[in-house]
Amino acid sequence: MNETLFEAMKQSIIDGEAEDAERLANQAVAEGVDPLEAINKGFVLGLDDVGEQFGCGEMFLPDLVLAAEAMKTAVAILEPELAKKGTAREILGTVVMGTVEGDIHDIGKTLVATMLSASGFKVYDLGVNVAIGAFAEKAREVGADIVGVSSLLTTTMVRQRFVIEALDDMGLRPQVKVMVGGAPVTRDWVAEIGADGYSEDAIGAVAVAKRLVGK
Amino acid sequence: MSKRKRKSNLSTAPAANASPRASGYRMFTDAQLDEIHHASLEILRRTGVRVYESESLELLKSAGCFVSDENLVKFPAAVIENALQDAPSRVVLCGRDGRPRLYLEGHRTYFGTGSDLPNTRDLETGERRPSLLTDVENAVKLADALPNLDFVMSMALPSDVAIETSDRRSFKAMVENTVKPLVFTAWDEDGLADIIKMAEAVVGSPEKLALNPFLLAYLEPTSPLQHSEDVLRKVLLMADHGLPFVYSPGPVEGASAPVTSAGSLALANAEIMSGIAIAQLRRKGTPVVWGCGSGPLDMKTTVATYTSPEFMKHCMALSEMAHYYYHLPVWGFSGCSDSKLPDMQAGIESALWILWTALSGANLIHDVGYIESGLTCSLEMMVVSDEIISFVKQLMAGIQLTPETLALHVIDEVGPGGEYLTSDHTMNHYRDVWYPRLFDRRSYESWQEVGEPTAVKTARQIAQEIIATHKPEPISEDVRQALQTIIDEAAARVGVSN
Repeated sequence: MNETLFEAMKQSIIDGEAEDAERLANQAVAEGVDPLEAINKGFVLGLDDVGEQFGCGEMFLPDLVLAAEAMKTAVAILEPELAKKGTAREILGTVVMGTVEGDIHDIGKTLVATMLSASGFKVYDLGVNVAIGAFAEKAREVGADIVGVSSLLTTTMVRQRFVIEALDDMGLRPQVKVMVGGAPVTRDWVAEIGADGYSEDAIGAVAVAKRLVGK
Repeated sequence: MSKRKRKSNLSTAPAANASPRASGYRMFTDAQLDEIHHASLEILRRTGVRVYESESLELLKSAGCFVSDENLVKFPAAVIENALQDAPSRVVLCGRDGRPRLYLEGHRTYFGTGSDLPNTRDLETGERRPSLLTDVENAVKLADALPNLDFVMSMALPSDVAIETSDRRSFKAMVENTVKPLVFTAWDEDGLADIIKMAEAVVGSPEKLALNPFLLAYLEPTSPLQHSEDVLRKVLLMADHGLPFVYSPGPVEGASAPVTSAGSLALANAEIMSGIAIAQLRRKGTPVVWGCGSGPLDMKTTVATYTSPEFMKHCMALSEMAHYYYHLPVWGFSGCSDSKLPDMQAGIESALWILWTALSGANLIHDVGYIESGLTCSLEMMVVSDEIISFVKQLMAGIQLTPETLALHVIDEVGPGGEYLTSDHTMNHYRDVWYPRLFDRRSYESWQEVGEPTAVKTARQIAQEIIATHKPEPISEDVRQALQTIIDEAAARVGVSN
């Protein structure tokens, strides 16, 4: 009987309509629909669909961003309901991320944070121009599974290495995995600095993060 | 037949090195240029820019800007317009030998390479690998030898030396391998201070450097509407030394700028003029170059593209603003590609860029030899692009109209049904015609006989030969030692060994 509702939820994410997603989430709460089911059988399927369509070139980046934003809106309404029932959406992992010192480019990093968050990760976004040591400090504080280090400039990318060294120094490696990102990052660079993964876009970043936490 | 004059060589760079003639191509009317300028002023008045550097904030406050929320600066139009009045209309760049080489003024166009590419396409193996310090040396040496490149940047970002001081090492490699003017990057204020010291050691004194600068710094604000502390420390230092720099934001349309070209143009223009205003407030008359590289984010691949009609139109528009509105020298892009290797796409994109930017009359046109959207250096594409630039210079030179070139006397002498091959006039002028060094014009059979060369293969051979044999004008041992001492001191300060 909830199939129609779930289908509408999925569609609201595909359409990137945050207002629809919000309305449908509220409707689910009012009708006593299990919030976990609403997420997993409704909204998440929409996000998966968008990810697939982006992967094969049917959808473009703005579609993806709007879908993730709609997802976050819905989850924000359903999460308190889960808490009331003493349950929670399964957290895939905890991620600390930021743009490295000397670089104030925000957009790519925030996009990855949004996608990870929409996909079920707990994300601590430290912002831009983040001091090398701050990544490791925060990772220890929140027990992070993954640290994500972004840089857009070829000249600041080299500082990604220092974040890994700082994690090493604090004895957090290898249990804390490191993902790096940004236009200049290559597979060779990832290997050279001993990072655990990278991706060329935000959808790929979700897949890499899932792989790193074994999901 | 006895009066035939023989010139020494077939020319591959026949046209005047830089044509001062406007191309006549305009996208905007004067009224539209006004509209863009006013839109940028409105952005600066209403939205403002973030200025993350305290001395710059003080300068702007004293000049009459409004500062709120710690570092959000809003500008009265007069602050900007007065400051722009103080910027000089021309910048002259010399070689390190003091000889004037580039007159950045009017529509004189000069081409050069780009900087800081993390990858290099290995000339021997064809493999894409992390860049090394030897890649900087080789790319600079090649640029020194290529006749149509007028200025030089580092091309490669070396991965085999400590990053903390690699800006100084790259600068030394550039000085050692070319006499052409340099456009350079520095990681931070300390790196820039060291590079200025190195440059002073090359020419002998700070005064000589300011009067005959052989270098220009590439500085970049962060879109949208932010001047980072790092970049402003560098702006202030260049201003204090009276040395030239280009202030060139890189907004990505649809991500860090409006997706529409006009909006991105107004935004970038506001970023440039507010940065240049800070330099002029610090020191009136600081030499500056107007610049911006703004292209759309490819929403399919999320790659910030390096070649697109939108990127190219944006450059044209910016040139028009700089030429016709601000009367300041302008920065340009060319000879670059989104292709992953030197292939047909790379050739087409490079050629479109070079022709288009030459038409725009931009003065300092960089990034020749970039592939993979500005991530990989291709020495082959430097050679290919050099050939295209040579071709385009000949186009831009137009057709000379004189009695000698109209040749009515020759036409009359030869008459209907005659031939021109044996005429003195042909002998005297056939070398004015452009000839390729790279592009193949052989007959099919001769082409087969010489091993069926392709442009890329030939370009690779030319690059290999130049790198193996070209001897750039050397610097003295004293200067070399002085540069090394500055590097060693910097390395000791930050605690790195190589």
